[in-house]
Amino acid sequence: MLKLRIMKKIVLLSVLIVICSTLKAQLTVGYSFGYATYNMGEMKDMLNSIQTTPPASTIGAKNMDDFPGNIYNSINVGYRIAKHEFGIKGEYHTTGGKLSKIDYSGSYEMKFILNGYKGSFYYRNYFYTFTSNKGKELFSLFGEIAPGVTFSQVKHTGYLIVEENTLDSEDDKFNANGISVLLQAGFKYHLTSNIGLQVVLGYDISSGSEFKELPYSPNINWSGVRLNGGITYSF
Amino acid sequence: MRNIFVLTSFVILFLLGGCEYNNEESYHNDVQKPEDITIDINLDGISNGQTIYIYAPTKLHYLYDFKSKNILEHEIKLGNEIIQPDSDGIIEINPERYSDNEEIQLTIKVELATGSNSIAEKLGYEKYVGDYNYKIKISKNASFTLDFKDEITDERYLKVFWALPPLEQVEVDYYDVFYRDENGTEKKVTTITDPTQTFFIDESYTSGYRRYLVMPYFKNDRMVWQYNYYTKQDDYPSYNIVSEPIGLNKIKVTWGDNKYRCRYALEYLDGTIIDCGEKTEIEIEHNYSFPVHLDVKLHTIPLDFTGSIERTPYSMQNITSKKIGNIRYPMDFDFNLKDSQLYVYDEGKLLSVDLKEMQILRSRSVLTLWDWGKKNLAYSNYLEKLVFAEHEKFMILNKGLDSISTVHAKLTQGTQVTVYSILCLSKDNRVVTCESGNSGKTLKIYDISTNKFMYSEQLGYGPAFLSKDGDILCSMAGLAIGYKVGQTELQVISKTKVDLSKYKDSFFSQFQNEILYMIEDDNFYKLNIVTGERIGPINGKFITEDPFTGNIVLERENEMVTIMNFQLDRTLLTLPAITNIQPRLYDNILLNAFSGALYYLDLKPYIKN
Repeated sequence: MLKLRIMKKIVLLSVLIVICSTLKAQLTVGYSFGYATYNMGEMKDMLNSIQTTPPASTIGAKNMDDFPGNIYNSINVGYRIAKHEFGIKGEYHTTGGKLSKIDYSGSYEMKFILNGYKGSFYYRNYFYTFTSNKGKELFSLFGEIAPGVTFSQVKHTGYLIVEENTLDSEDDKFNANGISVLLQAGFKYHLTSNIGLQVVLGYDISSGSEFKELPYSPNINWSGVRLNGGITYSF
Repeated sequence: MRNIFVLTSFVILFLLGGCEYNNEESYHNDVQKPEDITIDINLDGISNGQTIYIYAPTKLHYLYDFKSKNILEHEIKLGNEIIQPDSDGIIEINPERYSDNEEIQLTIKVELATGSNSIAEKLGYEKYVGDYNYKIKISKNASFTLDFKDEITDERYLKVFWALPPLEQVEVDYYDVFYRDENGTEKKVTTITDPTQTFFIDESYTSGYRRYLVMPYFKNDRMVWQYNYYTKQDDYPSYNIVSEPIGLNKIKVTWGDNKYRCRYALEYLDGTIIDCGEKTEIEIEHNYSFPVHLDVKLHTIPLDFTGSIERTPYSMQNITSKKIGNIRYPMDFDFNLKDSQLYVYDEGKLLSVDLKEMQILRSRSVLTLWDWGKKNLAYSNYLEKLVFAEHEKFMILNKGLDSISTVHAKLTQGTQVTVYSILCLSKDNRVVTCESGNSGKTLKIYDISTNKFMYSEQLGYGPAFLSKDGDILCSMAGLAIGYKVGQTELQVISKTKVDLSKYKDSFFSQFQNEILYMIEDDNFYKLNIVTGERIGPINGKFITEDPFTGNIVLERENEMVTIMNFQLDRTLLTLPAITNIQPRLYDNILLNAFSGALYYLDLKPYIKN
């Protein structure tokens, strides 16, 4: 699973590198990580329905995680001209939900891992830059918009073992796609002429992806607040 | 180079920075593993897998110990039929619904929750299971029949005991015991609460008929109570009383102990009851006529009985005067003075009786055609021989009743049965007979030394009498004519006037040869047939004379006999006695035949000659 994840990221990055190399612009690369909230109401409802349905309800399985907000990381490669920056961005989101119960007689687990791979174009406008007396940029304020596509994946695993007998087990993977628009604003501190540190706050509006294979066909909606911090390097 | 490094670093950072969501945290439910328990099902104490025998409508009781656990399942199945569990815990099985020897499966299944709240328990994988299976075998023709016997306890009470039939799984809980006797009332004897006790003792049983009902009741109602009857019929022997006169008006009555302990009571036919307690003898004072012959009921009564004695078991008994052996209908008598014996002809037997011991010495069968008033035997105290008249012949016997010789009788033509009014063995070895025929009475003489007929004489139609020595004959023909019985003919020796209007009968004295008692209506007199001398008349009806003592028995009051001396000048004794059957007196022993016995009363203690 890790290999596959890495493979996807490699493919995405490879595309970005090729584009940047071809353009020969002032390339800016940035990496940031932060905390994202998600609008996983339907997934939560699904999990709750599973929890209130046998066998989970019978045995009293507990909700250990209910698709919470999570750390996400993002990489962007862009081209900056004066106040404008264009580029592509890649984000990786992941969250999950789990029902569980274990005792001496058996164990139950129902786990959903959601992975969201977002690829988007972004436009950033540095609408205010503070320079030093020497004309060096010290910090900037910017706004950004990044429409893109989110590739969502659900990994569903589960098992019910009673007295060392596996009564039920599940291991499925489902995929679905959706679109989203990220709106955010941030603060960038120019550490050096090449290196910058930034803090960004925004909101991602996602269309959601319906997973018909899952019980109750829930919609995975990555919409939510984005707060991240990162580092940029300008070539 | 630096740019590549930076780019690569960002790439690596992006690739490795994001980790897929994972939550290894699990919800551990801290519950205890339940203890191991066994579900106990008690079905009337029968083990799992055992065969249950059903003989009658049966209630099987089941009892569970659920050890405070919740019930998940409770199923009772009999064959294919599901039986709803009830609060009483009873499974009813009626063998009528099945065939004889049919086998059915009974299963009881119980599932209990462990209460651990574990995953397995909630999903139904963890539970306590009790699974009991029994084979029901129907036996429709079995019966609980008790094998009864009885015995007598050391205290002489009736003990009835029984053996139990070997029926599987049938245990007696208790018995009820009843009885019903001839009166028909059912009474309870006891309830036996110890099921191992297979007997009862009935202290109220003394004799007679009693039917016992022993009803066993079974534990857990495994069988319907059963009727078991035992009939006891142990009668006290009838006519078992021994009577011993004590004096003239007292009798000591003795009887044998009853088999079972009891009290006794005598009940006369008039309803008088004499309670004798546990004694088996009693002295009864009486003023009954001789011979005493009382029918009484001898009741055998339980010791603590307080009810009506008339309703207790009894046997018929007789209180009687003493009797001689089993002499029943004595028809003729004669006496042996020297040996104090009596000879009796009784129903085809010739008996010799010892008058001292009042016991039969010898009995021999004889053949004769009996007729009323016929003389059959005569004993000569002089010759010490006895003659017995059989059909068409005379047997001559010694005093021990051994046969000596036979003299053939000269039969009268046209006579089928010869009836001898006189039969005598004379001193001179002759048999003297007098028989009645169409032409009146005929005297016939036989010589026993030659066994030949000597002669005969026609006597007329009047009665004739022969003296004890057989040598003087008296014929009543208007006069009392006395004859000497000669060797070839009768010789008249006297003629005496007789008042025929008063005359009834005559009787030659067995004490004095020539004395003839002349019996009239209410008196009698002695007549010396040779001399014509008279003594009397004596008031009273002549009954008999004792050949041993000469005492005379006469009747002056109805059923009161008077005994006088031979001289008729002294009354020796008066006592009540039946006279419609002629009593006899031998050596002061009064005898009378009555109701199939020959009774006697020894008057010697009361008569002083």
